[in-house]
Amino acid sequence: MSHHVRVQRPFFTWPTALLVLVMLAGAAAVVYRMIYGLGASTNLSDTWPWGLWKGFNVLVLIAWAAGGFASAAIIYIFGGEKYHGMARAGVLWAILGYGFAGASLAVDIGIPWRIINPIYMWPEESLLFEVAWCVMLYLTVLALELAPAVFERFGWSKLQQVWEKLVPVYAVAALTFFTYIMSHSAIWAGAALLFFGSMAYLLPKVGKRPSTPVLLIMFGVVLSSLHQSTLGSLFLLIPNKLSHFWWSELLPFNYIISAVAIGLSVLMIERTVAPKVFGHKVDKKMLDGLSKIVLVVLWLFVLLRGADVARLLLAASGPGEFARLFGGTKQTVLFVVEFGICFLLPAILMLSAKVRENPTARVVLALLVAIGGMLNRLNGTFLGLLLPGEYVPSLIEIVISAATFAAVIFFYTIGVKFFPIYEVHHKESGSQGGHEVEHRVEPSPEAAS
Amino acid sequence: MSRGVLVDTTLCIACRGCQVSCKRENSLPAESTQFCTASNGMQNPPALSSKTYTLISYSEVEQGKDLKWVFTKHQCMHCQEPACASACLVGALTKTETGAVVYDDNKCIGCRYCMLACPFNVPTFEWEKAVPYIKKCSFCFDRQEATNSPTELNGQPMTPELKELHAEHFKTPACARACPTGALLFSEREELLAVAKERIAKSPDKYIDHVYGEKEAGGTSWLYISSVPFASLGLPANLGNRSFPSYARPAKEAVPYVIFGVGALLSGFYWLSKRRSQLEKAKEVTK
Repeated sequence: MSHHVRVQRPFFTWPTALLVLVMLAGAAAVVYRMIYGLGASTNLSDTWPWGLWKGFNVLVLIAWAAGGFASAAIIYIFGGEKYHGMARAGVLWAILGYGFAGASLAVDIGIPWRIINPIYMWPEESLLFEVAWCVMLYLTVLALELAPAVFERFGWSKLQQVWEKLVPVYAVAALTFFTYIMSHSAIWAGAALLFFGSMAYLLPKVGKRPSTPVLLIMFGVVLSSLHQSTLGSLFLLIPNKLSHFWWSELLPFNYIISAVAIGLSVLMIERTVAPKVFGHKVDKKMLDGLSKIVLVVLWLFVLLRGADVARLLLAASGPGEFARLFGGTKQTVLFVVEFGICFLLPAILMLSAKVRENPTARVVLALLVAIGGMLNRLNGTFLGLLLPGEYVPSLIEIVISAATFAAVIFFYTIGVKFFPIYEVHHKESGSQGGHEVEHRVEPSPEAAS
Repeated sequence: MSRGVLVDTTLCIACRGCQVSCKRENSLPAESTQFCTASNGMQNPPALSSKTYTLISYSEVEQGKDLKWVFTKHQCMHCQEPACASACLVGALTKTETGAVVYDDNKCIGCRYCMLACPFNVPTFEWEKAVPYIKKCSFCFDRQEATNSPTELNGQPMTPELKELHAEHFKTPACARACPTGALLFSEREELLAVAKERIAKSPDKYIDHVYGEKEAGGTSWLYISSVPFASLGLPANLGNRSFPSYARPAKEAVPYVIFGVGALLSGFYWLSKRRSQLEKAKEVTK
């Protein structure tokens, strides 16, 4: 049996104080940017229009938050019961990642209050428009996925019942509307209504309490498959600017596959570090399984990128050509570090079950993949661009990026303290207690495990 | 009908009347003068900016024993299929029927994806402002679309001939109207292509046999002919003939298919995993 608990820990700790300090510095930097504008606060220019904020705050944070949809799919769609322990942690991590990606995007764009414009301005064809809508809708999905934890916290069981009834309706309605604005076609929208409506009716509900309607999970996975891949497709438009190491027709596939590997690796780190910090038991069985999934997805990504490299090699028809493609430029170094060290090396090492099941090796390799993911996104946004001059982020850009990440971590620790996020198993027989007791009794982690 | 301008770089004398005329037409402030690097010579200012929508670049090009000093007008190329319009998430950039790629500052959120997407690095941003907008050449589209010619001239009613003459002149973009040598020719794009090819055919020794912009990045409204390679004039040579939006279009068109494909796959897997756990339960019961 298992149920969710809140973390018992003091509000003030030194690491928390450090996070708050970084966030305060970030807030001051945001005020400066709002008053003096982007020219004074960033090193961006007409030649380098995108930089660290788009790269790190948006693309990297969203890739790191991909564990939210990947874990939901594993648990609720593929029936991975043993992964249930990371469900809420994954969702909390994702909603913070996406939330702060959105918030810092408002800082990055020229006119922050117009960030809502895509809601009612619909262009004919724009990949960024698709991303904007996916992210907005996915934030509502994440909020709904997290709602049961809030209901549990305050004992709103009536609300939980209403939620269970309404959520499938919302998912079907939103999917229909979304299909309409993406296709500009009533036929596609009608087909979506018919298909997802009948799926809501036909498919069995997720049985376990607190149950999560499968339609909501499906909606989240559909949105994630779309925008995680489309974030890569954004760069399809710049074949003349992005280095050949990253520009490829396969960009959307590279981004969605790597997002799963990166997101699950980040969750793996979280599921290793958080229990240690908060004094819970590490779920070894879950981590072993998770590392196997990461291994498979990582190899998929390595093969995809291998196809890209093979295409480059085939195109290089002479020794001079080969030197031009793989010569010692900044991009070559970045590619070798990103692909060779951060993706290929973990993929090879994790083939060994011994390495995969070694707690230290596992977390180090997951860290490598997370860093590789960061590099991959930054390479696409600005490091891998072949433009005249150079762009190095300004101090204010770096401070705001650091503060954005600090905010994700800070609110994560707040979230697990105030809401029942972590699952603990208890061995006593009988099914009394369980999930719904959380708001009344708060077993200390030691007693529970 | 889509209009365009033919830039004959062999006729440009770098008087920069177009630059001045553009500033006046768009009420743009001056930029402080600075000497450029040796290769740019007397070019001023160094690049397009939110205050300079058009710019004459100075290029020194060595051809055998010759040193050619070539002047090239830079501005928005007004692509036939603009990457910026395909990129914009609020539809602030659109291609009009007259050929201009225009910007609606009521919609723009300042994400700068158009700047990244533009193959020619044309859109610029008001970096120094607290509420910045994208700035670029509009092909004087408001003049092209204006139909309300005045009825009087100096208190005298205008004759029909004068009216027509005014309308024709009014349509011409400010830069082309200012050009004293005919280096800028404003007309229908099809017509300009014919003129360009005729000039090349007439003087094959003078011109390179290529009309830049006919096919580059799917074609542009502004066309160039030159006596030296276009790359040496700062016009990108690596664009290819494919229109840029066509790189991104398949990804956008795939969206409804992905919605249904992923939806059907997930439904199938979900049904399978439920069925499996049901069967397992049934097995346990029979045991």
